[in-house]
Amino acid sequence: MVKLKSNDDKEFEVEEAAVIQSEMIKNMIEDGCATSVIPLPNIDSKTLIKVIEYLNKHINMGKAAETGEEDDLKEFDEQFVNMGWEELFDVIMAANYLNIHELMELCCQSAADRLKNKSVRAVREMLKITNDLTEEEEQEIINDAPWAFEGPEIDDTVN
Amino acid sequence: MKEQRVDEVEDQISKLPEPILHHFMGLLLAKDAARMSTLSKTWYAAWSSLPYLNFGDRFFYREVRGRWILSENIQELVHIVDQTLANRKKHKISVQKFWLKVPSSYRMSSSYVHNWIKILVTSNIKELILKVGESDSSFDSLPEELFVAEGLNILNLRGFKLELPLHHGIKFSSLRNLRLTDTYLDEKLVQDLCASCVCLEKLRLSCCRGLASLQIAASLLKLKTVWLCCLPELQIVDIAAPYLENVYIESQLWNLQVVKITCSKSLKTLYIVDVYVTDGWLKDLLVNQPKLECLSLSGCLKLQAIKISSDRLKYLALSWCLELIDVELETPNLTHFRCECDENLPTLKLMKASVFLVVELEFSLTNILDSHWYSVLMKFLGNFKQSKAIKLDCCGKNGIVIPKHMRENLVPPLYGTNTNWHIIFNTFGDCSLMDILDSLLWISPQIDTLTFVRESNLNSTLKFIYEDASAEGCLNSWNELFDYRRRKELHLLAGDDEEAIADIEKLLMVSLLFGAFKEV
Repeated sequence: MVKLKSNDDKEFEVEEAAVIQSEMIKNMIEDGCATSVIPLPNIDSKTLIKVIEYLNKHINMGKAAETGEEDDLKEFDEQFVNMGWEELFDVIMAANYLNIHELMELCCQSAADRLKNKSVRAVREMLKITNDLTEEEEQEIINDAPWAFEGPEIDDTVN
Repeated sequence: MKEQRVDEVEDQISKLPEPILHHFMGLLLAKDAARMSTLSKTWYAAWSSLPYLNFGDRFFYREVRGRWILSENIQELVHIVDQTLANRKKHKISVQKFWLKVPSSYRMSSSYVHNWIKILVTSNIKELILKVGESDSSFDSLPEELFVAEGLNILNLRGFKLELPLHHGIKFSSLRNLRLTDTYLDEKLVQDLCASCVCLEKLRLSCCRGLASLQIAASLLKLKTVWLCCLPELQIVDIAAPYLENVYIESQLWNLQVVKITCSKSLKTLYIVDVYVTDGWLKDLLVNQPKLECLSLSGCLKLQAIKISSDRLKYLALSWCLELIDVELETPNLTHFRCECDENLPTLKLMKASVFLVVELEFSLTNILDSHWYSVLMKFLGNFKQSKAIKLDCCGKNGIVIPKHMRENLVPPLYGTNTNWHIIFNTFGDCSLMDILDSLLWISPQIDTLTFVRESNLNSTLKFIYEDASAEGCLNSWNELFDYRRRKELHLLAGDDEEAIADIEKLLMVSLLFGAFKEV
């Protein structure tokens, strides 16, 4: 068992086999730097719980194949990324920090899928982005690449 | 309160480090990524320096009533690609990934493509996906410069002719993944590729022309996966890469005569489709490849008797090996067995398999079925007493409905086991659900769960729960269903399919009536 500590001082016990899916922690363990509790100053407990849920489910992918649970895993992944933008970005940051390649891919792909074909107005509303470009700057960018702003597939709905 | 939440979200996105923003913008098509540049200064900067340019397969095409046709503005679109690459070059941003499908050289001069490749090679490209559309039987040429892209990790080409560069040879020293589709290449080029690509891990050739024999050299120490699919001229394959793990070979119209795999006991997955491999070939392979975990033989019309004894084998599929007569398996870790065939069901002797074994059967029955079919089928099913689940797709009426007269004096094949059945129902033709249910309850009297699938999401599940755990016995005929009904509770767990529900309700009613009659 490995102990992880979130930035709000909560401790979580995770099986070593699950936690070494994180390249960062794997390296720490291999270098003998993980004797007691591993502090994770960049991750809050809410996000860490999500990440641990993912690690536990994905522990030993081979085992899933043996018992025919591959579909389960796919379904789990689909359900897992079904979260708000804020939470999704938290998990992306955590996956990046802990260096969990598969989790990073999964979350980034979900983010990309949600933005596919979306209009600028829709994305701005979905991600609550404040536009710090002036009107002239914005127009200039559009004039530079008008091809990106035209087409029947562009979707102005927010969902 | 609400305002504060909004700020939090906004802060978070601006805080995303550029590499992460790049990473996920790299999963978007270039058109989406470029549009996002007007979101804010952060996004503009991220697009301007984005090292991944996915123009995609449809950049030169537009959709008209559900079909993708070539755009009229090819020149304009060429200019966009030109300009985007020129901007990267101007700001010294190396393009690491480039993906584009171009119209064939009839429609668009290939000099543009050559020029882009030169820019990308100079920029130390890592991943290149380049396809030519509607090429028919002609092949576009590639500039020699491509072959010196030493940083290239992934190369995926379609519709080109690969020719040996005259001046500096092939220098794909970092190439890990090579995928060629509809490409013309000859044996000498493959030899030179094998000599150059020392890091190659995956090789995939589909519908390529110009190869009668393919030799994959023993010098490829990192090669793990080889995928060969529909190479019309190919007759001989000799794969000598020593640490090979996965092989997929699909012949076109059984033209492939010789398949030689001489790796050193490393093979884990093998798919063979439409190749005349023999019993002896398979026997030798199994002796030489003890680590094989997944074996799929499809359309291997010369196979007659298979005997597999392996601790490692987990997956076995036998599809349309129509001459197969005998199959003998001693595979204690087999978790997945798939068999597709017509009326000529082989004799199966399953000596050992995992308790997690899931069996998938697909029968295409067109001829009139006689008692021979049913007796072979019952023996076949009798092998799966220890299995976890059986999935059945039987197209052909009555294939699974064992005639009443045959049930007499016979022990049901799955008596005493509580296997789950999963039935693909929509292909049963005229056969009624009641007949199938009746037959299954006879075949497998202690059945646990029965799922009927009509369409992917319209499942009806019947869960059988014992009311009296000590109760034993089996259902010998339709008339005894009432007994069955008394011992077990029939639950309809889910069912959006009204017709199926009506059928099952009818069945329940019949059984209740019989039950009431008996009790009186």
